[in-house]
Amino acid sequence: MTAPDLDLGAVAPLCVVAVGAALMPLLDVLLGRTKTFLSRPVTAAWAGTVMSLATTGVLSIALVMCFDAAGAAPRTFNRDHPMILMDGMTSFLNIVILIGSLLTALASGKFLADLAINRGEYYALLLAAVLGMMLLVASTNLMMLFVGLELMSIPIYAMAGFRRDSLRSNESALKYFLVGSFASGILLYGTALIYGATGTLSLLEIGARFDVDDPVLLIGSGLLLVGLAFKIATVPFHQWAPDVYEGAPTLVSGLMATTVKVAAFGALLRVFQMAFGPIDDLLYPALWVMAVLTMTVGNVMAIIQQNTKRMLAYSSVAHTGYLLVGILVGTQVGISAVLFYLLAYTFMTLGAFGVVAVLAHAGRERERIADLAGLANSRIFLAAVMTICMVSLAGIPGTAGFMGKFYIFRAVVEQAIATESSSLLWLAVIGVLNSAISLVYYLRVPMVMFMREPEPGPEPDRSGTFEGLVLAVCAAAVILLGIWPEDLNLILTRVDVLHWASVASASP
Amino acid sequence: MSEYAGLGLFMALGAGTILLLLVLTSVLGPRLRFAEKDEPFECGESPLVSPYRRFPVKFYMVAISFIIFDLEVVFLYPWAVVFRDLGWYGLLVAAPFLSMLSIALAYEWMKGALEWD
Repeated sequence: MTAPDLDLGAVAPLCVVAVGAALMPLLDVLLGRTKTFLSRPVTAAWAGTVMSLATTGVLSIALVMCFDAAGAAPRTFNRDHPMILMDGMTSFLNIVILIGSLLTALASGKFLADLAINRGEYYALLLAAVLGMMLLVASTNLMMLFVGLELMSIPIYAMAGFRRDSLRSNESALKYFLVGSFASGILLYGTALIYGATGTLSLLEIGARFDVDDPVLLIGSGLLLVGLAFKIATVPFHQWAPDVYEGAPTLVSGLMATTVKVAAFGALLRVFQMAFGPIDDLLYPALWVMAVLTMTVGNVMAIIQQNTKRMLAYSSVAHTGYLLVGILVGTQVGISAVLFYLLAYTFMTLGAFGVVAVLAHAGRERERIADLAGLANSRIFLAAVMTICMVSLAGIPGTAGFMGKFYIFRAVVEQAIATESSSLLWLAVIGVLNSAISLVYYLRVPMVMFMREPEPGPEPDRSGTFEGLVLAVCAAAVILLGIWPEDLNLILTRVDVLHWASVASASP
Repeated sequence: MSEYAGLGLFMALGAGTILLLLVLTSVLGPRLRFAEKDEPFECGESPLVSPYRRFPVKFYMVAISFIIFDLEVVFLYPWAVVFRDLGWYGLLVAAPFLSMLSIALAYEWMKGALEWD
């Protein structure tokens, strides 16, 4: 028996995260047993800070490794059976995921302490979820895709219910778990049907053997699509998102809205690129309707929300719609635009959830929009970050959100003109109209912060050092990505997605 | 067809054994009838109780630890069977799995989940 031809270097960042996830619980119990460290008593808050910094450290090491991999040639883990592909797109998505989770980990220390849920398991779960996301975006095989999806989802279910004494947190975890396992079941059923029809699980092989007239294969593809649509929360599979985001601890909601979505979109892009090429024409009408519904329902429902987290949940549904538009274009330019949008979206959404998280105090979260009233007087820094994120989410020029939308709609219009497709042009029109609708609820937040008198009660806490750093990074990235999108994208991710001629050509 | 003869014999033997055991227990077994025996699940537990009663959580800790470690150790059997053929490569591949198990055990131990009182 000879050893298979393995390339451990290709999956080194994943290994680092896996080792971190395994060692984090040990660090937690070791810190709990230590009475003093460097002649200071080990309090719960202190241990929490150490855990949060250790997690950030692990994620930074993985991030540096991904930077190295970003410029290199594509590699696969097992050269005989390529199931994990580390190419430019994987590196880019990995870097976005790592940046998002790194910022979350850094901000978590004080947030968990404020809510009195400062437990080390949080960081182990976070790292395990990140490992799942990285596996998900790297997989070129349906079975690996499923493993990655579950490894990502199961820790997130637990993190959503991390406030064990809060009924809404429990409800959130249970809802997410039920809907998520239902979606996984559908996805697995689709995988089984596809395997039955083609005899292979490799995405490239499925694409090569795709028989457009085979009903089993078509049903399987549809089920696979629905399973992934649940995870990225497109209409009509979005109903869980507001409830789950509202109940989960705010930073976990931020993680669900950003990195989880990035990972699931990465998987969706892979499936479209490699396997679903032959049925593009069949999927086009379904995805067209889905994209229009997702944009419109997300934006219209967000207008009537009174709770900031619910509003952000519907806003994230709407942004899923814009991203679907980019996928519908089907060209490399469209995919590049989607990837850039994911990067911009991560910073602005994480910043907005971060501000809501900072306002949490003594076991209570200030999460109604009315709670933000007068924030500009008491905490101008938080109000400024929130305003920048809202303006960017709305897509006003000078921010990352505008550049993201600009790239997507430019790709749509270019393709519409090139193919003389009026339906694509309509998609761009509906998208821009939706951006206009979204101004109503995004700009209401700065209005409340700057123009309303605060309700009587204690002043909100100051942001901690690390929280402040995270918020400043998010706000700076949002503005700089809006001014120098190409340069800053290159600095942040080392992958030049905006000038990408061949994303898919690098497959083995 | 002769290669299926063994299969047929196997199936006949299996069915025969089950039949034989059923007949033997019905002929030889003692018949004691009392109320608990007529319940759908005869396992010493009353099937109809309030779900809100208290139960000792320690038992469930042990049960869940057992299930986790027992199921994971099962994965070592296929490896043990071909251990010599795989050689150093096999050991290298199994090492992460084994260290993962050890870390889990250490964590459980240090958390105090193995203490009964």
